[in-house]
Amino acid sequence: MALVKRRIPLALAFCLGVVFAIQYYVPHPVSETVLTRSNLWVIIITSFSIVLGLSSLLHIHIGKMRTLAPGWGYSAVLVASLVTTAALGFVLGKDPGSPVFWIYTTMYVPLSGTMFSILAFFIASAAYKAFRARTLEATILLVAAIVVMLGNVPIGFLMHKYIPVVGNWIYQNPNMAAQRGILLGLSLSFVATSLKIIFGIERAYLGGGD
Amino acid sequence: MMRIVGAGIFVLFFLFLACGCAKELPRERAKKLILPGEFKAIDAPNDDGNAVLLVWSVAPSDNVRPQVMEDVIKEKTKPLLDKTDEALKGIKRVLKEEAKSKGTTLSSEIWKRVEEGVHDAVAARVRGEVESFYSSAPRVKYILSMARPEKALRDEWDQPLPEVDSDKSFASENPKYFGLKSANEMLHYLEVVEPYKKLKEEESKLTKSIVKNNTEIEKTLAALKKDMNRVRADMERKKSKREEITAQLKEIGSIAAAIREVSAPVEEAIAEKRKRLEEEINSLTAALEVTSREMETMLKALISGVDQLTARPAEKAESFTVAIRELAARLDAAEKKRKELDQKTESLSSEKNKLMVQTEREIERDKKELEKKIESLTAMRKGLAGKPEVLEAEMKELGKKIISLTTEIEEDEKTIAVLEKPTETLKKMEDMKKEVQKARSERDQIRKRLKDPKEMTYYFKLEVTDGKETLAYPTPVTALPVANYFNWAKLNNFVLTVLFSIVVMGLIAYAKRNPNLFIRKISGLDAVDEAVGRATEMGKHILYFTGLLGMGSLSTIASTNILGRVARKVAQHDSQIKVPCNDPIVMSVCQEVVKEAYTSVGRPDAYRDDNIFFVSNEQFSFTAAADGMMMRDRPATNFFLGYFYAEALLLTEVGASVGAIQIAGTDALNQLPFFVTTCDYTLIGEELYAASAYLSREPVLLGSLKGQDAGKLFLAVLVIVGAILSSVGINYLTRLLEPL
Repeated sequence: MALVKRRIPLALAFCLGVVFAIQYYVPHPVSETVLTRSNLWVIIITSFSIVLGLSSLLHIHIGKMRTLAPGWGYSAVLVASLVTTAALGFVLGKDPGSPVFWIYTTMYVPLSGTMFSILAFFIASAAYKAFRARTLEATILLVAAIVVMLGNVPIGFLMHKYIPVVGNWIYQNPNMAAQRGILLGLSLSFVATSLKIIFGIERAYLGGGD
Repeated sequence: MMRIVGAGIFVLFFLFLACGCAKELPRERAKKLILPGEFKAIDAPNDDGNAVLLVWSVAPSDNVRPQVMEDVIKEKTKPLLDKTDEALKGIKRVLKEEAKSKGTTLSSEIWKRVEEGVHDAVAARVRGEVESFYSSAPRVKYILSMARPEKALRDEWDQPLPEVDSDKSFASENPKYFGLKSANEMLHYLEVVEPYKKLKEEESKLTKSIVKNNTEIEKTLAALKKDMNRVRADMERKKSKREEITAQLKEIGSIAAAIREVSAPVEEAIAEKRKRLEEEINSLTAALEVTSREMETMLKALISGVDQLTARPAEKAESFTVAIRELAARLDAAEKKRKELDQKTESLSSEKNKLMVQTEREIERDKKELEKKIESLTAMRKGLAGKPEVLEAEMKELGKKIISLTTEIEEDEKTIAVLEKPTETLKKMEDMKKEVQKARSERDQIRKRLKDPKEMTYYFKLEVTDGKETLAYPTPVTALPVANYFNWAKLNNFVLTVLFSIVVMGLIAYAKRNPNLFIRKISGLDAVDEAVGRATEMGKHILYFTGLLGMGSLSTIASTNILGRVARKVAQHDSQIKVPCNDPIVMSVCQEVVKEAYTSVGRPDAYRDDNIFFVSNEQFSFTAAADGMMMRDRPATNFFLGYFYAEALLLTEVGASVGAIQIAGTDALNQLPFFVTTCDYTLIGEELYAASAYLSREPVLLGSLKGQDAGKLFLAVLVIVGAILSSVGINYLTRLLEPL
């Protein structure tokens, strides 16, 4: 079991990690072909993985329906929607004018839009939490945020011609500096984590931790 | 009057100045075509050898873009205005003197308006002249053509490249040719890819045709082979059957012969014995008959003697009695003899019977032995075991079978012969093979050309034209595209990566020897125990989100690493962890990670596969489902570790509203503020990647963190030094870190 669960995945991670690290620096046609083919494999494997997802989804929800667990009605709606949409898609296609297209445009898109629009209220709520001037840092944050916000709307310029300038400066300098600092650390982390995975030092993602 | 004179003088001056301005304009440039100073063809760097860059500088006769025109206007206006101002000063002085002599003063307001008017008029005039010059200037175009070496020598430029408008700046439109360096606006760059591409396309087309034909040939061959093999196998089967039957037949024949061989002497002996016995019986019967006849004769004689005795009383009685006694004695003897003969006959008969029985038994025994022998010789001949007659019949049957099989085999051989003969399919196949051969040789030639520097050298010619006149660049230029094995633009990146990797690996090795490395406190990770403990106390489960990316993302891998550590603690606390996933592969990995974690702490029974499940791979469907779970189940703790998009706030706000303790960690910079605002603890950027090492406290992993720290220190120093050097105008360090 150790061979299948540990050694083979580690050997694969090492070989492919080294190959694709080298590939990044080689612009030769062979190297490009290797990358293109590998990406195709990834797409194919990912497409097949949906079977795993569906089996998990159906297993959970059919189980809920069978035991009449709390909220089993939602599960019934989910399974019915899944089966109906899939059947319609398989039989009638998904081109414009088809029932699946109709379901997508008149049900899925508005529902997604609704979820996304809730974000506006949550942002307001989060902003309220963030801008409560309880500490010095929070006060600085509040002032900076107000200046940046005013700098981005016409009324800011009307209040004072330097507000947009200051707002832009805050955005372009302290904010950008902090972001780049985080990015530098992240980039180094990427390299270090990749090295750990390639050389099999980090194995927790294989399960078991060590 | 004076005013009219002044105005007249002003108009004259103005006209004079305007004429001067017009003279200053470079009108002659529009009349004459000028070739660019330099024309080069170079291999496009860091590509796979499929492009050549054509570079030439802008000639003075090129058209100028509008912004350049503005610069020209500015450039031309300023000296004219200076001259105008000087002239106006002179005019002002004259007018002042004249006014003074007449006892009046020159109105400053009027003079100001005159000055403004003259300035505006000069500027407008210059603008008008420049604009009319550039609008009337002929549009210059570059004509590029390409030739193969032999054609270039013969001066045949038959492969025209697209005409290039001199208005277009390839430098600014295609910055990819320059990396991130600022483009030189004085040069045109044009990437020529077509010839090489064409050859490559031709090569791939030929390869496809080869592959297609080969596949078809292989298919046809395979079908033919399959047919032939089937017939051959059938024939072989029949042959082997025939051989088997022949062998069987031979065996049966030999057995029958053996039976015959064994039976013949026995039967002969029996017949002989029977004959002898019969002869003996016959002779005995004959002897018996003789004796019987004798007895009958004697009886007759006796009866006649009795009659005589009865007729001759007394005197002859004595002799008669003697005679009777003699006859009686003779009768007794005959009787005795007959009895003896009977006995002998009887004994002979019984002997014969005995012999017959014995012989039959012997024959029977021999037969049985032979039957056994037949049975043991072949399993296939079960039905054949028996008497030689049956075997003969079987042999006849088998013979018939052999004949029919032979006929079939002959037919099969004929079929094979037909299949082996050059049929239409084979002819087609031959044609296809020829095509493949031809395509191969063509492809080989193309490949040779692609590899041969002489073959791949391109000749380019540049001409410039305004539609009326055409000037050719004096000498054609050449270039050779080369497939690169290393992207030299990434050399600095490569060197830095290798150096950093060496540092990280070195510090990992160091950490193995010195395991007690200091690592700063990360409160978000210290809170994991508290969060898991809280869930246990409340008897509620923990929700864990790995972000919206798949296993190809490092942040997801880091998240699954942390999941393993968290799941161990959960298993130790006998709590439950639920992991809704938006990617089936991530789900499988998480299931494995959590299962292993439960097993590693000795609680495999507590692990439930259903707790790690797939929800949806659509962002907001996933969010809606996760929010619903939070609202219904009210988890004690939420972990958000991975890469998140807009759903970050939608999840964490709902989590906060249900009172869950929330620990987040992401490298998505845009989502960090939302996590910081709505979660109790947030791992910022690299802390997410450090979490696994922090929680496990493994020296090897801690060593990699030290490596990262060393990298950061190096970069910090580099940033400070670079900033100082850039501030004093030395950009060497900045250039060194840019893509080359």
